[in-house]
Amino acid sequence: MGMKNKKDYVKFLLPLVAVVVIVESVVLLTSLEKRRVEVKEMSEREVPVPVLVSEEEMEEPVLALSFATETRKMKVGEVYQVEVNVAGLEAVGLDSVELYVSYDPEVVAVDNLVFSTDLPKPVFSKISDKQKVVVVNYLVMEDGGFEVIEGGAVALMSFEVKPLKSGVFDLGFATGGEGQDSVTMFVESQTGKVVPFSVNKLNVEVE
Amino acid sequence: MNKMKKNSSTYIIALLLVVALMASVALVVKKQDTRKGAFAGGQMYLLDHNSTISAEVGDNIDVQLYVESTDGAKVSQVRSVLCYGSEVELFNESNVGSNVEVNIGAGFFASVIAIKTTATNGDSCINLTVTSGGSADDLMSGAVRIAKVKFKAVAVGTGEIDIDDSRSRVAGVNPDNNDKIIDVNQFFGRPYNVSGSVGPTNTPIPTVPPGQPTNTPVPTAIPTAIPTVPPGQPTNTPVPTAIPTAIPTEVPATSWVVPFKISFAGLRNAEVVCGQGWPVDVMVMGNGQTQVHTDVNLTKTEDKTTGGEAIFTGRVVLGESPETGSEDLALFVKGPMHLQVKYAEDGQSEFYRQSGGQIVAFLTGTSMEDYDFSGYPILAGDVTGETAGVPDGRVNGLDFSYVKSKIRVDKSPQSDGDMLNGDFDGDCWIGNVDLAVLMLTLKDKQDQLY
Repeated sequence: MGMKNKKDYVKFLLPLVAVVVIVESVVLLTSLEKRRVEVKEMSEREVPVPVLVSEEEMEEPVLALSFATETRKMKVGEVYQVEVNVAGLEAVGLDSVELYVSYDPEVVAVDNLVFSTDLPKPVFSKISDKQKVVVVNYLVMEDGGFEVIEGGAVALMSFEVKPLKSGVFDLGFATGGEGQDSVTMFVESQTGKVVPFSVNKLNVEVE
Repeated sequence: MNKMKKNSSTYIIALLLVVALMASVALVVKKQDTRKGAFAGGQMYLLDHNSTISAEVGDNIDVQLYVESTDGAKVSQVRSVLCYGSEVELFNESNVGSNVEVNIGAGFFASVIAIKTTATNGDSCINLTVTSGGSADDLMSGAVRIAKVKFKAVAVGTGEIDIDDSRSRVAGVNPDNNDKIIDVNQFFGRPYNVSGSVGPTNTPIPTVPPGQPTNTPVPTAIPTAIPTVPPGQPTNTPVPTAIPTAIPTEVPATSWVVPFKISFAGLRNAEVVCGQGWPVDVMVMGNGQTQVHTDVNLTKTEDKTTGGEAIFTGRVVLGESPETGSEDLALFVKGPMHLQVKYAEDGQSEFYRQSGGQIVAFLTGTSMEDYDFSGYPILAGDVTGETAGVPDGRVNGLDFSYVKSKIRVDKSPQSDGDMLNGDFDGDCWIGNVDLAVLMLTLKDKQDQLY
């Protein structure tokens, strides 16, 4: 009788302990997860600059900046025309258009910079092999700035490229970083703030 | 026998389960510190926090904010909330950011994010955030001076300029992982005692005086005269071969001094109402070391550059045995709406393209001549950055758009005499002339860079 009682007791205890362990484990894991979320929120609040940057990156683009060229397969030593265009995803008036196109002077030569006929003469322009960048800075004096209409496209500049080596070369827009000077940007006239924009790269295969 | 074995295994399993239960309970009860461990510790304090600031109503009160990091951690970002009672207020209530002068010599950006808030007990607070580019080479560890914050005494009473430890944070450079928090766990504000009568405008607190290096002990005895100025010399007349006497005279008996002449791009008339008292920050570099002198006062002269800009004189006092040495120095000068410009040789008239410098300091008591940097005016145009109205050390389309938006056709004064951000010619009105000055700066700077 005593043995049977003991057996029943163990039979009852084993599942009970097992259930308690399982429930308790779930509670433990949930508790850990909750604390991880709290730590993440605290860290993001405490480091101000990265948060500002990430918020900015998440903004919807108002303009789309792109390259246009007749071909993406070029030959060494031949000259090709590249255009830089901007398309308005929303209507916006611009006080400044600052373009910095990055390139590698060891693989491609850049020449014959031609400016937009829609914008005023740039306040500064240069093809700088030293800094590996093509710079064109437009500043717009007119009230309301230079208007880009929604759905409209504007040619901002063009230049010639001559591949020097076979392989692949890229042209991109230098967007800089904190503490850097070559930062492609558009400044809106109405707000005096930087307009978010999307960019693409030009990848060229050279034979 | 089999039954006994079965029973014993049942007991063992039950025992194991009980042990597991107890272990789990212990884990849950124990504090789960999953917080990312701060990679270093430190303190945040106001210089001379053990002493009480004694001031009279009307006096200026400047405090120096420091962070001291442990383990050689380099300080890259600081958010500090300074709260204070009704006896004091910010020196310039209308422009919160202008009350904070960041120590750019410690690698921080000159621009600061500063807002005024109110604490739950009714005290006013200035919430300031100082940032840097984060490059370890430019940053400092140990006791790092972050910024000078300017207050003024406005009512009789006692209190404390306190650091709100719950809202103040420090980040540093940690090459080992992404955890950048420096766990600042000690905070020391500074008590003040404001008494009744209206006193002199200069504060008696032992802070570093304008033009004095931040790492040089302040002399207790102030000489009453500088030996190089002949007796009887008028104090408001510029003397090319001597230190102008209108400049503050807190110079140790034996000290190295660099006197200089300087001009601001666009400021062509030293008498214009809004062009008075523009202070400059001067960073002296030499021997691999730097000294930062904030709010260096300038004295106007009647002279002009060949380009027509008004010429001012100033000087920096390096101290008795400066870490920068006294030879091969370069000076980096920044005006209130201006880019930092390097001056490294006498008679400099363009951008100095070499490293190092050729300036040799003078020892007090010897004959001195002003180094003439006026031929290359300090470039004007840095009036804003991502935060409107807060300069970011650059001149670009943001500055252009800011100044353009402030242009008024009506030429009535836009300021009663205070410096007007974007008014580079100091005529209290922002017009096309100011925009033209900015555009020239942009072109000049781009020419230097590219």
